Parts: sequence; structure tokens; C-alpha cells
Amino acid sequence: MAGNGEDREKLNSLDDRIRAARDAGPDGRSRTRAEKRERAKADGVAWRVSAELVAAFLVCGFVGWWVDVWLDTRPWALIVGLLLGGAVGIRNVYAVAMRVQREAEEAAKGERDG
Amino acid sequence: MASPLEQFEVKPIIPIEVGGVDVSFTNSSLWMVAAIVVATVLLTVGMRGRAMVPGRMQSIAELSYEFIANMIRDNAGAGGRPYFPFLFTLFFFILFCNLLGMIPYSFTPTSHIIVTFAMAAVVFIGVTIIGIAKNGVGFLKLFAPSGVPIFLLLILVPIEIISYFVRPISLSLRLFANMMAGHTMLKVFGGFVISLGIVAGWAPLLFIVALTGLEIGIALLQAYVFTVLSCLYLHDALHPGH
Repeated sequence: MAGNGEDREKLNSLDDRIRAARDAGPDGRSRTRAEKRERAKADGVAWRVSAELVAAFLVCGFVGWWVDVWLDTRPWALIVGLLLGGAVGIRNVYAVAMRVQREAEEAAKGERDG
Repeated sequence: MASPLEQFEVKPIIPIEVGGVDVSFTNSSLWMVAAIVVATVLLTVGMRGRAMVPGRMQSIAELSYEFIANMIRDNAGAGGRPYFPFLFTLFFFILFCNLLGMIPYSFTPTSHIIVTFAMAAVVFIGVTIIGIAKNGVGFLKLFAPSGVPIFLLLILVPIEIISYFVRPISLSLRLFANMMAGHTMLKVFGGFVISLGIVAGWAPLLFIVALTGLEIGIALLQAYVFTVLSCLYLHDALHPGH
């Protein structure tokens, strides 16, 4: 049956076209599903990073202020606390960024191998 | 007009006082109980059939089991398996607190930082105990990255220690800030609809429709983020060397 392979090829290309049409959505402009998933993931990362930065700053600033009130050294402990908080925040953001990148690299590798 | 922050007010339903401490059953308690009941009913009723080919409800229960199991395997490693029940409960409690909070006139317990902080503190203390119990003194390796010169360690160790103690704050702050900001915004735009009336009130109303969809997405995403980070902290406690 010579026509068999040709038919299968036709079916495969139809499959591809259906998938593309489904991903494109009714107006052809909306994002594909994979892109949407990427977006949601990126939103999650953005929230992780920003909260990390703000929380370190707030906690260290608060502890500094508290030490100031306790030892009556205003404003030195607050200044030290805020600087330290900035350093910790940047360190945490760096750690999250490295982790995200490693995950992305592993995913890309997995896709190539699989 | 009602203040957009009025929705966050905790009101006692059954006033109880034990030894001078106010332990009333409040609207916040009520919605936490509701979250537990809905989650439990959904999962147990869903699994009651135990069919080989799952129905709709059973699929939900099975998919959520697999979802959390994969999350733990990917983020905490194989050593995280024993903590599955806790993380599964944590995820579903936060998720249903968030989702039930989307019902009009309901209350969102996770929009209070004391609620999210209590959960973050349980995770933080639990993970620290697990880390010390599994690794002993080796747990302290978490604070000293390997392959770093001594003079740099003097700077890095305090930073690592502070960053460890900031974890429960950042964990609770993220969930609380998201929930509170979203619900406040919904209320503010709801106020615009009333004050602009039938003439121009349609614009903010359309915005609210879009925002409600976004908020449901955030309810899911933040429950996910909270649980993933708990898994990552668990991973650090199980393997402090890395």
C-alpha cells in the first residue's frame, strides 16, 4: 500500500494544524498555553524575589530600631540594620535567581535529552 | 460609604474568655473551619467511589495528590516524602482560605498577617527541628557556604544567619500582602461603581470582573508559592551542605 505513508503524513500535518489553531485561540492573537504557563511561573518568581527583598529590609530595620530604643543609640543601630538588611535582601534575591536559572537549565537539558 | 478596610475586621461570633485571654470564636475562625470542612468533604467524597476509571470528583482528588507529591519530589527530594501529609494539608488549607474568601460577604483569614505568620512560624520551627534532628551539628553547615575563604566567611555567616531568620517573615508577608491588596482593590473599585452610578459605573464594573479572575489566579498561585517555599526550606534542612 503506497498511499498509507502519505495518508499518515497528511494526518500528522492535520494534527499539527489543529494544535496550532487550538493554541492560538479564537482571535489568533492570544498567547499559547505554554506561554501562559511561562507567564504564571514568572509571576511566581517575581513575587518570591520582591518579598525576599522587602522582608529582609523590614526585619533588619525593625531590629535596628528596636536596639536603638533599647540601648538609646539612635540612629546608629537603625542605619547598620538597614544596610545589613539591604545586603541580606540582595543575597536572597541572588540565591533565588541562581536557583531559577539552574531549574531552567535543567528543564532545557531534560527537553533535549527526552 | 463603607471603608474598603472594613472587610478585614475580626468580629467575635461566640465570645469566649479563658483566664483573661480573649479566645472568642470569630468570623475568622468560622471561615477557617469552613475551609477545612470544604477541603475535607471535597477530597473524601471525591475518593469514596474508588473507581478504577475516576469520575470528575475523584479526578480532582487524585490530581491534587499527584500535584503535591510531584512538588515535594521536585523541590524537597526523596527525603521529603514523610512530610507529605503536612504539606498537603498546608496547601489545601491556604488554598481554600483564599478561594472561600473570594465569595462576596465572606472573610479571608489569610488576609491577616498573624494567621499567615502562625503558619510560617510552624514551618520555620518544624524545619529547624528536622534539620537539627537529622544532621546534628552538621546543620550549621547551612550557614557556611563551602569553598569560601575565611575572611569572607566572617561577612557571609552573619548574612546567612539573618537571611535564615527572615524566612518566616518573607513567607508570611507575601501571602498576607497579596490577599489584603487584592481584596482592598476589589472593594475600592466596588465603591467607584456605586459612586459613579448607572452613567459611568460600567467601566469600574468591567474592571472588577477582570480583577476577580486575576484574584482567583492569585489565590491559587500564592497557595502554591507558600507550599513550594516550605518544600525548599525542608530541602535545606535535609541537605544543609549545599
